[in-house]
Amino acid sequence: MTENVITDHSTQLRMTVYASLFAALVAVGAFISIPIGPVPIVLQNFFVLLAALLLGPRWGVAAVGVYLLAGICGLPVFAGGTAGIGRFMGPTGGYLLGYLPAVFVTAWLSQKGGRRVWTDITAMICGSLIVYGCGVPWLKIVTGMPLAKAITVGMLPFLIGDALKIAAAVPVVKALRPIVQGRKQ
Amino acid sequence: MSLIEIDNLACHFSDGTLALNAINLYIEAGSFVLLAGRNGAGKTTLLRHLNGLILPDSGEVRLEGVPVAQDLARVRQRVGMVFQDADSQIVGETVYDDVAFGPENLCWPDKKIKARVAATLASIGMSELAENRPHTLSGGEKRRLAIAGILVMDPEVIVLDEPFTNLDYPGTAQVLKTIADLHGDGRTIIITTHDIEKVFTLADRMVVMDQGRVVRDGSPLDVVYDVEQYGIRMPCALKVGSEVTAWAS
Amino acid sequence: MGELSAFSFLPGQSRLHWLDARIKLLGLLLISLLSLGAGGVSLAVLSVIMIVLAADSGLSLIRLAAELRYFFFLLLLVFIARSLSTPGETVWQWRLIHISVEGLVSGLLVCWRLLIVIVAGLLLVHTTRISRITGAVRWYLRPIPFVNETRVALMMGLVVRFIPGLLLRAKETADAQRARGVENRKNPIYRLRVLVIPWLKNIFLEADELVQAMQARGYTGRRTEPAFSLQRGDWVALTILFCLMVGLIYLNSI
Repeated sequence: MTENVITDHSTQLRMTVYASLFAALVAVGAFISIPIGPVPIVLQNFFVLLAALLLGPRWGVAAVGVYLLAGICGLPVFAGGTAGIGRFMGPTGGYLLGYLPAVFVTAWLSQKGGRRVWTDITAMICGSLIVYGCGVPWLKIVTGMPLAKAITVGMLPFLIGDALKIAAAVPVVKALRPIVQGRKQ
Repeated sequence: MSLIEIDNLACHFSDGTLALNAINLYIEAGSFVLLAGRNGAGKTTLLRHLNGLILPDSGEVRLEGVPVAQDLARVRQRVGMVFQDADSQIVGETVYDDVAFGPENLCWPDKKIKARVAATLASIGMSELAENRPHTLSGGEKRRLAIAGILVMDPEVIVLDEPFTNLDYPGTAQVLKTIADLHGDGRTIIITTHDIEKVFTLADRMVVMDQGRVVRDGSPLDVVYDVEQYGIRMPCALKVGSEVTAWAS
Repeated sequence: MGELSAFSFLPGQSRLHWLDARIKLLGLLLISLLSLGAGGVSLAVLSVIMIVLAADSGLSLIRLAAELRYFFFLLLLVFIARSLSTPGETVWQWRLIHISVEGLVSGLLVCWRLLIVIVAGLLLVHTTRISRITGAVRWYLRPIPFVNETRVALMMGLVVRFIPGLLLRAKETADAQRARGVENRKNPIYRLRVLVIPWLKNIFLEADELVQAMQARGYTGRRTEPAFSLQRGDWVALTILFCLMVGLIYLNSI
């Protein structure tokens, strides 16, 4: 059908709804897991990367920003039932805050790289490293463990899962990009 | 002048085929129109023209003589639309907030919103549910919440797209009663459904669509005997030669 | 399934319920920041305040404990890590593991701080309607450039609205695939892909419907401003909050 009502304004509304949707996905991502081996992988950072690749820098940052803001204000978006700013001050707070620069850098790199598969993968690897770059030092500060220990506990066990998530993100983004961006114009 | 006037309306799908083809329809204030037809006949597309969600490719839709495209904000207040999937049209995080969504868009003052939302919830018997999260409601309650969300803006026309989908018997009865009450208040009702038996006794006009055209238009009892060729099931009672009774009172 | 947290707003008439949402939000942020560097005395003061407020607002201990049960695990983790890794006078030693007095003390302090911030957050959620919280955020964001505060507030509400539906849809998709034997496939990339693509496609279609419904309900981007007005009680609370802040800063500095 000719979408003759698609104006600038309704595109804005559509992206607003999509960004809210991704903020909610990041929230439920902490809940949805795929069992592999002994440690199930959780999808939270997966959705952060998807938000970056599907929404672009501006709306990706909006999605993660709204998620964090909702969390700070105590809305029920954090897993485990603990709402509020305490989550940021806890041992895992650094990872949460790290999502914000991560989503921006991933989206920006992917855009610069023309959204090709390899540049997307590079962008996602950079994004994931940024999350650890924020998360591990904070873990070290809160728990007082030495850096090597913090890396062993707070980064190494998750790297395999991250690689799998990045590999899975490629076909997912390929399938969903037409849906999201076909309607952006 | 009729309340809604549709003149020679046409609309294309993006592949070029006609979704709506030369529709001419005049709808009087206070009428109850049953719009029937098989899936893909163009019912939903037609409905979405009524409040400017889709604007005509050619032809014109007028509300009280004014083309819809000219004042979308006004049209959307006066023509309330209940979508097929009640779940996906709920915006608010509580019942109260959802009903308040429309008035907030109209930038009404806070006090007026509070009063109108409370009155609307009371009028459809959902006052005690005001603080509930919408996803905890039953199917019938969700549908009535969707109706409340547009009723609060006091529209003249209420458009309902398949309002009985996925409802159990009590849910259907609740929704049906709400619709009958709205019509009793003097509002114009336009409804699509595959199950025409449910609203048959309420409707005073039946419009049948097929392949983007209006193929039958008249009083339900006149039209109903030739609907089966258009993929609509005739009410059982008529098949056995008796009368259709009110589905729920 | 269906809810991340069972903890939500409970209508009531307590002082906290009546208090202006903007002040509650400010209070939460200030208390969180102050407790970062707080010592034992400050924490004791804050604890008393939290207990009084919790009692007044009708927050039952059982509900609180139920809500915090996952968090206690996290606290325990922090406590153990702290006690093990802080050097100092040894209380207990076994091979390479030694626990120090300093470690125990610092572990206890960190956990105590976290607990207070968490309880403060729970009190806010327990006594404040979500639309009031987003309204307060809108008010605070107004002076900030490049941020459309009306949209941010709307988005926060939408996030809360989306969560239960997303979980439900995910469960439906996963169940439908289990019914067709997806568990025989061990490749996690495959599993992730076949779960996420149909799930998100559905979700996006529903989101498009929502966009249409929002337009049909007259959304244009301009919306009623949330009405806030400070009553006498609010000014009193603001004053108390200010005094508390000054007092705690003083306590932290000595």
